[in-house]
Amino acid sequence: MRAGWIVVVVLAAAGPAAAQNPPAAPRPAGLQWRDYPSISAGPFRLDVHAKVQSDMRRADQDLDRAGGTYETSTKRVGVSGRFTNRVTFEVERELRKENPWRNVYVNVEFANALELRGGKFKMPFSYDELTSIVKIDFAYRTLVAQTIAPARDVGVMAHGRLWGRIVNYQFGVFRNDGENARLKEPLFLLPGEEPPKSERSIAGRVAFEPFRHIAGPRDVRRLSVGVAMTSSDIPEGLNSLRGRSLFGSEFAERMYVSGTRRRIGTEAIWLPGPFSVKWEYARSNEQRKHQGILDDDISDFVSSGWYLSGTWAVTGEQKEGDIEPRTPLFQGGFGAVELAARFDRISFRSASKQGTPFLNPRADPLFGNSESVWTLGVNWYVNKWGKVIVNGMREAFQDPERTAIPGRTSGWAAVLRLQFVM
Amino acid sequence: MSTFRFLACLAVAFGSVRAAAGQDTPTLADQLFDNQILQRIDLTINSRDWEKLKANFEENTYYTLTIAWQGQTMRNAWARSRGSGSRSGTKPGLRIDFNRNASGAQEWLGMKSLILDNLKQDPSGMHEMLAFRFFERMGLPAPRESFAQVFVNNKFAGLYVVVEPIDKHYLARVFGAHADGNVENDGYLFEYKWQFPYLMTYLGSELEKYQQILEAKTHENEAISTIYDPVARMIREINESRDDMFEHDVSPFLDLPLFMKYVAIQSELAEWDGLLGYAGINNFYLYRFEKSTRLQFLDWDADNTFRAVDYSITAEHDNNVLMKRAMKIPSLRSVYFTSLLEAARSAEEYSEDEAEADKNQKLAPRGWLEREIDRLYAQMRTTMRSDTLKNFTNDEFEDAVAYLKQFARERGPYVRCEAAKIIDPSKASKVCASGGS
Repeated sequence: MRAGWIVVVVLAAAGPAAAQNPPAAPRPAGLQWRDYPSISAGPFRLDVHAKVQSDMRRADQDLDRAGGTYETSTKRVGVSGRFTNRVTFEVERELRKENPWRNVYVNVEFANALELRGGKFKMPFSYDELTSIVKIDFAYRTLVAQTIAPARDVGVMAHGRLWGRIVNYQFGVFRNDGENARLKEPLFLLPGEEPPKSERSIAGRVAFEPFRHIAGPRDVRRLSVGVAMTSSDIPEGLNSLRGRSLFGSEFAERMYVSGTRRRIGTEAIWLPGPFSVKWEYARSNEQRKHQGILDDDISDFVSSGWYLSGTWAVTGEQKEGDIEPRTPLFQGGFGAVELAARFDRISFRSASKQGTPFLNPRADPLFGNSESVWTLGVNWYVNKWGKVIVNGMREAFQDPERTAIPGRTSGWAAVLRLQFVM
Repeated sequence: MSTFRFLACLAVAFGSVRAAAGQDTPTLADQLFDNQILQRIDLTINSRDWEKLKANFEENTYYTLTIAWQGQTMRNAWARSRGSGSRSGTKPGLRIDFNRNASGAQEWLGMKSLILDNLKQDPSGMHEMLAFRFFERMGLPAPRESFAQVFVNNKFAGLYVVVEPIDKHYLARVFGAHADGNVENDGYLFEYKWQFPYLMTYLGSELEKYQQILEAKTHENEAISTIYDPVARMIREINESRDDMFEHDVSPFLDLPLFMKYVAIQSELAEWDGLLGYAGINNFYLYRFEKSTRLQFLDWDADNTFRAVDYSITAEHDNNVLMKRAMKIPSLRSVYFTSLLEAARSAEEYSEDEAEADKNQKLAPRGWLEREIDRLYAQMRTTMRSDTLKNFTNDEFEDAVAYLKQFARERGPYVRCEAAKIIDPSKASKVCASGGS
């Protein structure tokens, strides 16, 4: 009954929006170059894409374990397309053996207000995580996106835009809890014990652009705020989220958890002209039912993080998610240049702070740890396809005995990234 | 002046008394290893972890637990299954670490780790404790042990032996302090890892080969040449020095008389898996002293002692390169037999008071070894019999203890008889006929 009301409200809000969306004009059949190869045949269109990111890195910490000083971090090929105005799809694969498939989904659009997506794609949580790796403002995602956000999983999701895009929503059900929260420990069952129910998760995100349609300066209208949540069941084991440094060193180990993992997140994004300001906060609470030394329930394992970042396109381009240079290199210009800065922090602890903290994965309270990263960067948008990112990073840890750099609580890192996207 | 001198003397005297009192006061670790009483240790561990540890007993996965003994509790301890042939999923042997994953140095009763031996390979339960006690009696270092009833989550988990680990604390205890007051424990400690029947042959100049069989337990992060070069040089001298230079060339690396005493004690104890083991050298640590090339063997894991009353006193002498060459040196050969006979005598030794006490109980006078067997048996018999998780029956336990008592009575005469056959065959028949006296 409640679901029925939701559908009525969604469709009511969808009516006028859908009416504003005229059918796209059919493209001429055959192979075309549209900044990428594109094949059209009647109602069918297929676009071919490729993404390559190569990094040259220096860091105080050991990079041998993280792939070395030179790494091609992204090598992806994929296709996307549509069939009529209703059905779109994407298949994307990383050119590697381990976990190669990225987005693999089909999307059906019933109206602006209601689309259904099925397959493997990103669970709706964290603006930074939902932004494509080739469109983020820095070389690396935020700690929140890398650790707390669930990332991709297999599932179905309803999403849409309401009231002229003032509200964007996404709600989905997923098979597991995302690639960032993959289970480490094989399930261990006591004699006669039943396997737990599935790890299925639900996730939802709502983003508002409250000033989108008001009269006034354009820059004011480009403010978006959002909230997100996920909930999933986690089987008993060393299966909590964990803290890893920029290059993968573990500074907060997995803890024994059992019960429910709940994430909440909030975000505020403002894109005034050539500037952008982005802020996110996210928190995960993982229950530890029967995980104490005495088989007792102990307080939740809490992972929380936030970041604040800002960018300025000094060459004056508008920030529209990404920047397209007005005067590309070799076409009468130099491309676009953007300055960027970010502060990023993540911490791990137990909900309880009473008593003597220990490091062991059944302790309550836990001896927590946290990491903070300052990043300063310059982005050079060479043309539609090419981008050069230079980032300098200062990484600092709370616990001197658990850092990425043995014996030191902080260190420097720098990365030069060459990016090609087609 | 005289007043000052008086006060100074008083202060020194008072300090000496305090120091002496400090030395005499047993530490908590001393009390834990006091084998005059049956200890009780309580472990608290998440029940799922305990089941996992037992199910995966072949793995070295650590689980966190709380250990308590006489009100001394350590909440942040870690335990894993331990042993090689003694591993068990029913009654796991445990290594408990106190300094693992800790914020800062963490110890319990002044120790960084502890071992709970599950007695799987020893139905008598007392082979190792008797052997280590006998090593100490003969003046050689050995780990301390005591019996303990172990409870896991308030449920009786069996009779275990609490074993002192060989680490820097152990080295400090057995080697004491230098003249400057610093204890001797910052040398290079190795644990022998049996890989193949190794008879102390020279393995060549590649230090990795020594690294495979001798795991560095201290200074692990130093260069391999710093850690293993003296060991390789010792093995090379043992194998390649001229006969007439053997003692001269090997002595900078090894106290040869001490080595002969060590193997003599193991021979008296009929140790068949020790330095002269049936499958090569085994069950020892090796310690290189600070600022020195000198190494010393340290006895470890003596479950396979008391093999047989008539276990040969020259077993493996011709196979082990070091022993074979050392026995060609008359002085070392003499040390071996002297130590062996001294060990046999010591195992049978009793005082007049003890003989009188035995007489009052209508017993023949019992030697040290037999009295120790009786004492330990009385201490742990009830607990051992109630241990339903042990790897043997109660009848097998009783038979094993009875055999040990027989060994204690008969090993000495056998050793003396066999030694006489080698040292002075002309007197051997007389010695053997008189029961080795």
